[in-house]
Amino acid sequence: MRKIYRKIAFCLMLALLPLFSCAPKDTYQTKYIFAMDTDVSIHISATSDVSELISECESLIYSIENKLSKTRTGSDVYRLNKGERVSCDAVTLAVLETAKKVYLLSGGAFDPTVSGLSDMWDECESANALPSAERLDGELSRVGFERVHIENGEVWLDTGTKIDLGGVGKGYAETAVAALIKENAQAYGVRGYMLDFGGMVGVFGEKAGGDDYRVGLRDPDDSGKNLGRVELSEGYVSVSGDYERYVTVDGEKYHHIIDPKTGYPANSSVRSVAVICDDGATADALSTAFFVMGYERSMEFYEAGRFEAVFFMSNGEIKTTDGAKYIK
Amino acid sequence: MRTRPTVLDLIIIIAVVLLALALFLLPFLIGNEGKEVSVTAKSGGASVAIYEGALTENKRLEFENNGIKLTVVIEDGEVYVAESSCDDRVCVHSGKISLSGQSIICAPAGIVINIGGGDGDDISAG
Amino acid sequence: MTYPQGKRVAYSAAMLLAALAFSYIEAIVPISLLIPLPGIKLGLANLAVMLTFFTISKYDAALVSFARIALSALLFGSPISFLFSLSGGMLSYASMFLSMPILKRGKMSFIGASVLSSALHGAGQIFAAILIYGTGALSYLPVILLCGVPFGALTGWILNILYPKTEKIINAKNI
Repeated sequence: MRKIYRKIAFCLMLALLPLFSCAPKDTYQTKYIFAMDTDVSIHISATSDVSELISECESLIYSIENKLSKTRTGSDVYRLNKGERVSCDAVTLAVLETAKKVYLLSGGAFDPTVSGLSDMWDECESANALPSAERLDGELSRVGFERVHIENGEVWLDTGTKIDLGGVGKGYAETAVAALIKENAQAYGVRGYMLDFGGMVGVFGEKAGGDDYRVGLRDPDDSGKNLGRVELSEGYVSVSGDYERYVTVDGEKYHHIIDPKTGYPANSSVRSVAVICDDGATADALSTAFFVMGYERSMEFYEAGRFEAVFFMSNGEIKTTDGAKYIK
Repeated sequence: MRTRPTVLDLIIIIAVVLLALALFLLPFLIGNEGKEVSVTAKSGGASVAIYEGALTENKRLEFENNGIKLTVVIEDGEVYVAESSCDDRVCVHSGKISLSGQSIICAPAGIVINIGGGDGDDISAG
Repeated sequence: MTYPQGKRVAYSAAMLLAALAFSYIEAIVPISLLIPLPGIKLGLANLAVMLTFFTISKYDAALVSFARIALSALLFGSPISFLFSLSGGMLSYASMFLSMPILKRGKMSFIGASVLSSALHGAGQIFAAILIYGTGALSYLPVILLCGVPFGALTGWILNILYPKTEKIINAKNI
């Protein structure tokens, strides 16, 4: 009798064996949120449920936004723009540092102090009139990062100067989120992840299939299509284009990337430029700077290994740096 | 007119079967991986999009149109109809789709599930 | 061979009735509950159309086909089913033109003609589906083609048996 039971038990075990050999299945989880005045999405591929991790990322984004947002009452930037002398948060200081670095590097092409000019253009749209010469000169006189003073963690601005860290804040936030995910990668079995903060993209880890990630670059004339793509195993791709945001005055479009020297939207024969870099904040700021500087001037700063770039020129040409793996 | 079966009859049968098989395999050979799922519902003459999302996002969705309820599942890069209140349940038996261009249609409900966006980009910047 | 008009009318009417009856049976018996594949049909009505085409005349067959499609859609169908039937019916009718010479030369029997007819009927239905639901409907073409084969072969086999008997009746002198 007992022999039969043993046989049955053995057979049952054999039958159940296949169940144990199943490899853990990967889950893809995506979360879409609206933060930092733009659409943010987080895509994570892992062997276990990452809902908790994504929640943590969300909290991180909101906490950074609370410090850097120029519209949120009580944020560091809001207070600075009100003329206060603020003892800034480490996050704000770090962002200001990067902003200053790129400001100097780009000869002033990237300049967070154009905030006053941006506000002016918003008013122009409401009034449906171009800025007056006096207004323009007035705003221009308040532009320039030398009007931002940082000393021992305290920051203050010259009278009338306003800053907007939007041009580098998204990149910074994305880098922070990427770091958070990386820290927790082992615990959750994260294989690869992609982040998209308002068009600023970061890719990390391993893609299923082991190839490089393919990051599409949007066609400036057709938001539904990509003109080409960049292959990247890990890093950030930040695009600045004349089609992203604009105001309309008298039927004409004036895009949102202001040239700090003229006060008007930058006009450098570039429709959009994508910068590929391994630091998010730098990529974010550089793409704005290169858009303002145009192709030739930007290439003076090119150093293979530090970053790569792809330019979609106004005349339809596409120019890329040597190291950019761009495919049509 | 001939009324006894001939070789040509058989050839025709085999040809149609082969054609069907070839058409069936085609998407698997040259198809692109799908990126996006979109669901449309027909109301009167118009087609309205009632859901659009990434194929990588696992979801369990409920739709209702023309009095028929559908439960659509997106899981691990595949889409299928888990439940349906329609009479013939053809949509439930339509299997799982995952390639760009493939569709599942529930005719009584007027609901079409499409997979698109197979241009090969994982994500778009700009 | 042209037959006297009276014969044609009487005969076509009978065929139409048969086709309609077959359509009704198909509408009543839900084959999709047994075999839940999209677009699966017994295709019995096609028997009547094909018989008319190859025994009486092509034109009468066209009338029978169209009348059957219209009436069955009106009686137990819907605007959408009308479109599908019409589209399928037209293509399947066209296939009979193709089959005619081959049948006459004895190269194939009605099995081949019927399978062709079913296949084209299916293609016609998919075409209509694409118009309504979009190009995704193409995914269903393989299934419909495949299903058309067994049922098409079946009706073809039946046709093989019916044809000589029908020819005899219609050629009888005292009718």
